Amino acid sequence: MASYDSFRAARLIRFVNLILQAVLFLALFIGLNYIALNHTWRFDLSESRRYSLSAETRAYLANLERDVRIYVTIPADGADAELEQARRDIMALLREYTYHAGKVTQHRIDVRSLDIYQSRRDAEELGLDQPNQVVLVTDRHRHVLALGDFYTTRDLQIEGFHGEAALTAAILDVTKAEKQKIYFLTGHDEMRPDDVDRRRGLSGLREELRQRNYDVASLDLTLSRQIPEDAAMVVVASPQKPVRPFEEMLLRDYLTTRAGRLVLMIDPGVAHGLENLALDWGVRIYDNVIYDLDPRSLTETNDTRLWRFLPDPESGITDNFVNGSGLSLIVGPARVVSDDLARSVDEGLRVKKLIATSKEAWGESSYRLRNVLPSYTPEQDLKGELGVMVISERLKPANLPLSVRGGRLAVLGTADLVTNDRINTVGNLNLFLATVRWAIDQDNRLNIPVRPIERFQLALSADELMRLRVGLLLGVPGLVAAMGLFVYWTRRN
Amino acid sequence: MRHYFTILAHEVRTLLYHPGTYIAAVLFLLVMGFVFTGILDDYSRAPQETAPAVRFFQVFWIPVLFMVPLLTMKSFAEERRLGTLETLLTTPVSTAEVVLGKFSAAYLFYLTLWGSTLGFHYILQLYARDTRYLDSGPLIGGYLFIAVSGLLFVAVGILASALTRSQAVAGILCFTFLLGLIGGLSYVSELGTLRQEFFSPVRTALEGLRIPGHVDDFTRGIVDTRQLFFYLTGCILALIFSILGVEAKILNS
Repeated sequence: MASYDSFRAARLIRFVNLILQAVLFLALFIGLNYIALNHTWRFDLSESRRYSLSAETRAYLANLERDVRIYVTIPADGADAELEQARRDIMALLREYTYHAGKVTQHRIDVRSLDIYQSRRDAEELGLDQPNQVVLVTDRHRHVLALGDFYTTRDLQIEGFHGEAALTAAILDVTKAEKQKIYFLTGHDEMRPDDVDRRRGLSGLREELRQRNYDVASLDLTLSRQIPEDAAMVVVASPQKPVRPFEEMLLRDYLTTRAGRLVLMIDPGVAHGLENLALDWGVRIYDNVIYDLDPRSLTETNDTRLWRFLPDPESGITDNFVNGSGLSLIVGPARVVSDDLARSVDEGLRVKKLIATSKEAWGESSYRLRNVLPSYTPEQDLKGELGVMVISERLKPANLPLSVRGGRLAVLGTADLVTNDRINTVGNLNLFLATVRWAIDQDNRLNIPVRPIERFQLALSADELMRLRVGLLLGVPGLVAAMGLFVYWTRRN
Repeated sequence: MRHYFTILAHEVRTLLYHPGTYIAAVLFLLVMGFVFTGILDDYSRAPQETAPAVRFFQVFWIPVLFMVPLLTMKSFAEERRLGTLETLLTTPVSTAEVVLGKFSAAYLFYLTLWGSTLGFHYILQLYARDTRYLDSGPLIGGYLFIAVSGLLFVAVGILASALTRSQAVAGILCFTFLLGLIGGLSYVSELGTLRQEFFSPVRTALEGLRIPGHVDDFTRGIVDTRQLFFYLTGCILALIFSILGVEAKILNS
């Protein structure tokens, strides 16, 4: 008998046949799933499609100009429930972005989770050095989002999730061809972004701005004689000498004719030469020093704590500070800035005080006198809720149907909040970044609603809770056990 | 497929009459009851941002890793040990019908076990007097996930049982396969090697197959066709392998 005609050969052939079938089915499974990965549909069955991306975000994704890689550095830490929840919220949202980008554009949104402690080498290569961040990277730019950028808070509790607005704004930011450029005025011993000094350096702020995809540069008007065309915003941080009249004229011209954006941070006790410019925009800068005796306004190290914020939904600058978020600013000496109540009626100008002192504060105007203890002098010093930050903007005339960009000015009575010493204070950085976003018009482009976060808590007495536990542990299992006994009894009979 | 229904009816009847079924069900419900009361303890201490149902479904792996092996390890291993499988296959019944019949019975039991946990949510709602605890979103999504993923998990259990004649080995094999599916895919997708651009499609595919991510989507009410397809094709593949496994063993015997 031929060897191929034996049982052994037949069995071998059938065995090989089975193996081949298995390999073919496995290949089919992998192939089908690979095709399915690229041809997918997602359905949101939730009420009012609350987890789907807004039409606005989908429209922006359709016009994505380059690939975006997103690194999430929130560790998967089951022990911290809040962090774990944040990670889930953000990852679920990012899955929607990846899915929609895959549907509507050739460019990809690639999401990667990276634990910077476990994958230290990868993190270092990518320049990721902090946990609990979402970092967006393109071939040109990068943008860092902290967890606070994803949530709104009230009374120290998370109230809403506005991750979609934050992510869409960040994606728009990193996919833009050019970075927004922020110029810091120099030439009057201002604080400089390249200075690493603890008390007057702004290198920390520069780093924070760069991480958020802003370009930072210095501007000496005595040399350039003009404000560059690419200036998205100009910052004057604590000048120690008066700004010259021609420089003031250039700044004034930039604000009015070019709808410029200017942030003035003026420390007390120095002549700055910008009073008239501010006054034209409805802001009065006083020559005094604030003393606030309210215990809530002083830190243990005798720094000033600013904790009274006035809501202004139109600018959104103080959104993170109102509603009892608990955030405050820690600064050194400050002077009073307020809206000019004596200015003539001008409907095209909106002036708004955003930060104030407590009622116990006064603005000491005789601070230059030596050997005199500071004390409130009626009719000489200002007293009450004194302004520390005021914003002013030109609005389009009401009868004009077109959207016209107007200049924006923010004036702070202290520059101390952004120095290397202070910038790590959560409130200080948050306020400055919010001011930059308002000045540059960054958030106004998006109208994406905040998703409210529901809260579940069992409000049961100890007795009710015990009965609930017993009900859960004995109710359903007891029912099944009874059913089993019934079947057993029926079968026996 | 007439024989399929005969086998299914026989398997279901065996399950219904066997006292072990009820003991297993009671133990399952006790374990899940403990898990659920543990979750509710957190809700009585401090407000939580997600419904208890969402947290409940996130621990889906506990019953999957322990119940599915117990539920399926007997199906073929026991029959083979007793020699009844060969006898069964001498009748005009195909291997596919036997595999499908056993799989369907185990899957129905799996669904019934999970379905009975609906009672937990109902009892909670009765005590809490808050209709939000019976929120249809996470409940429908969560149970849909259980139903869809259960197809794959039970099929993997059947495959493990078809590969060996020892119940214990079948149980351990099933546990290992399921652990690999639930935890292994996540682990592999995060491997440093896959961060290279060359492996980008592989990493994307693996990240899409992360089962914990699927639970998050389902409990939010998001249904993704990739996930449905993965469980469905995975189930079919495991069942085909089970058929091939049974045939290979018969061939060798």
